[in-house]
Amino acid sequence: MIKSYALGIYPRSPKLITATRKNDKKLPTMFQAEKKKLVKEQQKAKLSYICDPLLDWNDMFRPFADVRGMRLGALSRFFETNTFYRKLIVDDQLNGYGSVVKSNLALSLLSKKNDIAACMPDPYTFADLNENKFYKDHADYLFAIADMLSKEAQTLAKAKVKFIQLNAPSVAYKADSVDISLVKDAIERVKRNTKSKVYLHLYFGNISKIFSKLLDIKIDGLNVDLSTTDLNSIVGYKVDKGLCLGAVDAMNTKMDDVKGTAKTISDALDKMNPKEAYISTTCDLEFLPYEFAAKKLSRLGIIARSVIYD
Amino acid sequence: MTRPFPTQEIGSLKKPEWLLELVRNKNISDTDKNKARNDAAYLNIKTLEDIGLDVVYDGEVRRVEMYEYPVRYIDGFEFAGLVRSWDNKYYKKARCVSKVTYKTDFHLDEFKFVKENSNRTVKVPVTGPYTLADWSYNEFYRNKQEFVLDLARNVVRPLIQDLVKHGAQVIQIDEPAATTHPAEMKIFADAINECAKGINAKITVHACYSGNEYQALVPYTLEIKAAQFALEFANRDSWKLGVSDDVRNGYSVLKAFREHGYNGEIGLGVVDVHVDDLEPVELVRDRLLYAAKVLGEPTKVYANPDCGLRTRTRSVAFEKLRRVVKGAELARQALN
Repeated sequence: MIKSYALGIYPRSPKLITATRKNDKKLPTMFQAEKKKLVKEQQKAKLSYICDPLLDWNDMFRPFADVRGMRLGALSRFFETNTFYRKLIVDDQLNGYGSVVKSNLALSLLSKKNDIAACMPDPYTFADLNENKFYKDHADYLFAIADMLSKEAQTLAKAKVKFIQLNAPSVAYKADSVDISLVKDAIERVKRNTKSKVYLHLYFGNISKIFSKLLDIKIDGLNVDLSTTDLNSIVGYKVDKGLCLGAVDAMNTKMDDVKGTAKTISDALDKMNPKEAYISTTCDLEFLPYEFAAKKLSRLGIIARSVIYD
Repeated sequence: MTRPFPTQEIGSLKKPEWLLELVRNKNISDTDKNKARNDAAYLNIKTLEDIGLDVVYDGEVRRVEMYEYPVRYIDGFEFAGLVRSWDNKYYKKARCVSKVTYKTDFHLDEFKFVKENSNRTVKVPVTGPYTLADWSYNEFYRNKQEFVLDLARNVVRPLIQDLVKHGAQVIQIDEPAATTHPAEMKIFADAINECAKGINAKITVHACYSGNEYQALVPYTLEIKAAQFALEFANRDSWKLGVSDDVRNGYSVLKAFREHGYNGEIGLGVVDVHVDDLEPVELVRDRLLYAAKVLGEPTKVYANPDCGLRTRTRSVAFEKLRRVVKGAELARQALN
């Protein structure tokens, strides 16, 4: 058995979708009730970390629209998905942050019996997918965002969030051209003053060519999406930090094979020998309809319990 | 078309409120609902003709949506549920669970109606195989290529063949997913060519909002057997008048089309379908003149909106189309 988690934005139920379309007066209560249900699903699947399913986040950047210096921009395609996010425009010095993520999490719904995890964008992805109209160069802009996310991470740690995942699809998608030293500096800034475990989630791109460099980043672990990075291409590396394998496909309704997946992961972990090991979904579950996302959560738990790793 | 800057619409218009209320009413018979759909189609056709468009259809008034509607009629798909497009907007996404097959020509009745009731060139919009596959979950095929090509051969081509057999002369394959995955452009190109194989009609391709401003499409423009690419540009362009490169920044990819040797038709998006602001006719004119300057042949530059106008009110949509027609007239005058 290995540990497991499924972080990110979850899909809304058909009932909640109808309510949001009608702008139902009971929406805040409904969001809480639906969140509770999905937290229970995570508990039922016996996941190691429990998280807020972020049903009220319209995209991964939207809560940051409240930060001073940022405003909402145009809709943009989120990588190669058919889902769009609203770009943020930075047109002034960033200010007034520190509890943006925490205040947008329903931490009170998460049981004290479970360890709590949360996620937010990594600084490189944040800078890449939004627009800078204020900072004089890209490095200044990137580090301003890293400083903002560092404060956010510190607040989460104080709120007993034990595990923070930085979602880094841009690092993976642009693996051929990304400036890894810049990514390293920015991510280490976020981790530096944070007591929580910090993992970097690399999805939507093949990171095999930069995997060795990513291992040098001083954070607690890496999460690799196995639908875009072939496990065979990284299995030769010894991993001196934590490793999470994103093995349950959150982009397809097809149910993942339990025995085959568990065996592949067990074999890979034996060779890579990470300090600690996890399994997760390949990316956020929001790309699946509600009913299938719930099935995938359950499948994730079953596979995690079927993996053999000491 | 032999005159410069022929005008066309792209596809969908917002359905009239009276039609929506009527078709949702469970107490009204299917026969009466169909009569109402005919009335709405007739109204759209005649309005588009009165506006002065050279190429028309019925505003896709009988279709619920461009993905869900065809999927309902294709064997091999099952609807999985709702998936977010953005914010509170969701679409119904299907899973492919067995080999896709063509059941019936789901556009034939609407085409026959348009053909009988229009005296203009009729262009039938058909959702393309790449988009149908890309917007679905694949649980059956070994890979996306097999999935897309089976849709092209077993569904979209037979559909087009039936339409052509009944007199369709222009088919627009709608592919809003076209350039979403730059690494899959070869699959996209092969799929369009499979759809067009043996078809004796003009095939055009409409793509929109799929990313990278069509740079990924350019290398395939000669390989794809389409007479026209109808694309969106206006939403990225400035609203300043003029025909310089700086001012017409939304149309910069046209140079790449020309440099690659593409000499087919371009359906030029000259009005933005996502804003209510109405483009001045002089702006439409300058966008057309710029395209003609870059591409060299004004009879091959069609004037159209960026995409279907279903997100605008009917009054805004029709006014935008009027400006497309008037802008094209001004552009012709400027050439003379």
